[in-house]
Amino acid sequence: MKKKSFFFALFALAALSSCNKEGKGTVVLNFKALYDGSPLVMMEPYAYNDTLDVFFSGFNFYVSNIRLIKEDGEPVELTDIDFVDFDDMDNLSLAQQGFTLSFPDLPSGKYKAVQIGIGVPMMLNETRASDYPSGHPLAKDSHYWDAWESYIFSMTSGKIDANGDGVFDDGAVLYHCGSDEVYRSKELTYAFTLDKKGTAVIPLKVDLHHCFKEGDGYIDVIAHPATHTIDNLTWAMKFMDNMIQDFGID
Amino acid sequence: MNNSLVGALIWQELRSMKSKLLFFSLFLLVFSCRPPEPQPPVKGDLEDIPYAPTAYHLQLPEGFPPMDIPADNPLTEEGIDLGRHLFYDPILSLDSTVSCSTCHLQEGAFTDNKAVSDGVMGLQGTRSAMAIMNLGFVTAGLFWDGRSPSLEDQALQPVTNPVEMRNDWATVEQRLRRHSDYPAMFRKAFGISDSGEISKELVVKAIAQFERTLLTFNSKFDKKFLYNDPTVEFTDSEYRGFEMFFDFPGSALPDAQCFHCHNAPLFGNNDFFNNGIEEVATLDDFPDLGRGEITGKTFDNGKFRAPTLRNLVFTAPYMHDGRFETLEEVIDQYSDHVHFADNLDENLSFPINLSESQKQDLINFLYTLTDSSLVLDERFSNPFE
Repeated sequence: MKKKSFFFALFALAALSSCNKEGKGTVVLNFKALYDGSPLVMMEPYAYNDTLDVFFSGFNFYVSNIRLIKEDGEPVELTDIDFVDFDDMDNLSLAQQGFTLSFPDLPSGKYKAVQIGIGVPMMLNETRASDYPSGHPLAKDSHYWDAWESYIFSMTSGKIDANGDGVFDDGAVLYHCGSDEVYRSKELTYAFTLDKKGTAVIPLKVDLHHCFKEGDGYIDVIAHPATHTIDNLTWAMKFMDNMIQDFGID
Repeated sequence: MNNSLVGALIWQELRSMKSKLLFFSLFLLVFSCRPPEPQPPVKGDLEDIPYAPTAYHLQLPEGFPPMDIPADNPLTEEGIDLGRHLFYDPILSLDSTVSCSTCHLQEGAFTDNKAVSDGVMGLQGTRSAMAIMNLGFVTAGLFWDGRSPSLEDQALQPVTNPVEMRNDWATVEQRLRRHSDYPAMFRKAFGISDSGEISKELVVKAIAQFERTLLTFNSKFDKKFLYNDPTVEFTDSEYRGFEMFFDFPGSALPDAQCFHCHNAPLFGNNDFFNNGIEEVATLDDFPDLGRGEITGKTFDNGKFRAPTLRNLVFTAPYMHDGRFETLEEVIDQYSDHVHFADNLDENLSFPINLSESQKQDLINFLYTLTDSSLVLDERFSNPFE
């Protein structure tokens, strides 16, 4: 009798568990970095303005407080922090694939929007890289700035050819944007249905060239080649404002 | 038969006997010189030795990150002790002349103070021995080129490296199985039942355990900024160096661009950089491809791990090939002589141009990262002395 009860309990547990799984699906956020609308390939030369060419060796940023909004307005939390990294996308194929973050076990149903922050929210920005075990997005010591007591929210690195000789030794682009002042967030309208056991891909994009917009042109990166934010907050805020404005559905 | 013929026959017989005797003697001699055939390990020969390992808990200071310790290699006092013995024992090398400690001397903060390291038979490597301290926090590849994913994997390599220990693991395992002390130590550390179970996997686990204990966090910098010890004061020069090192906002001093690759508290990081020390026409021209040799990516050529700057006072010469003998040369290089390449780290693309006094301030700050307890701690010393 005891044995029978045990098997019944086991069966009930398995049935319950499979019911739960059947109601869940996976959402994939697929981020693509672009340059003037084309996939951004690291180390490939691009025209920056009429006089400068540039190539980028790094482009990465934190994303945070990512939520899906159901059709009825109920939010579904995906993560409080993660990291998007295009640094290794040094060929067209990789750049076209983009960078993905995957979130399994989400309730199936109809959704209408996604909310996302770029940077590290204030509460988390009070912590430091050494507070986290390796593998955690916030454990990156290269992205923590002791002197600011802040994470570097977005890091963009590249080199400049200003005289057209094909050698990119005329300067560097080094935009390290951090501190609470430059945290930005956005809600993107995107209607989709997440089927039971299904996968929904949300295509996201940010155009790096557009992040450097200034007036009718682009930030003068010869005059302002770098920002370490606190000592050059104007350009860090400009970059992050442009970034969140451009950030959207691909 | 005449006498001379008899004599000749006897002589011939004697010569023949002599030859046989000589041959027999030689045979005996040669046979006796051969090493004894390896005896198959007796099943369960260690089972009488108690196996009761004592868990070892690392005491990490506040402000340090948690250390990744593999679930299949938890720290135990017995494992660490075994690892310490193996670290200092030349039994691992072909001719029993080279141990891990040959290139990683405690008095050198576990480096050998040579530009490139010596191996067996006077052979020389091509890179400088990295200082072994706080290595348990390295998570993105060990060695200058990051080719090894873990301390356990790293410890496998020098034994078979043709320049370093030039041995093979089967020989090492056999030596350890026959050793008078090691089988019992392996039993106490890992619970093996018989000496035949001693394996390279257990050897490197033990060495990795010992290496994870080689911690340093007791420098003047640590006391002042991690432990807020009110009795520790920085000099004005040290403080100026500190400001330049970390690029403090509002500071009138130049940004020395150090912390990007050498951030506190470890003062190294888990990434690879071209730091501009090599003048090359193209990315294919680096004399040592470094990280590029591992990834196969041209853009990674000439990149190397950013090592810790802790205990620099003990670890000269500097860089992956030991090209700089003094810290003055190092700071001069970064300040005034960085060479451009497409993959030069962008933080070094802007001239730093420190004055002579600023260079000295920076060096004085770097000296605050000295923790002499590492080089004096008896727990890390040679157990055979």
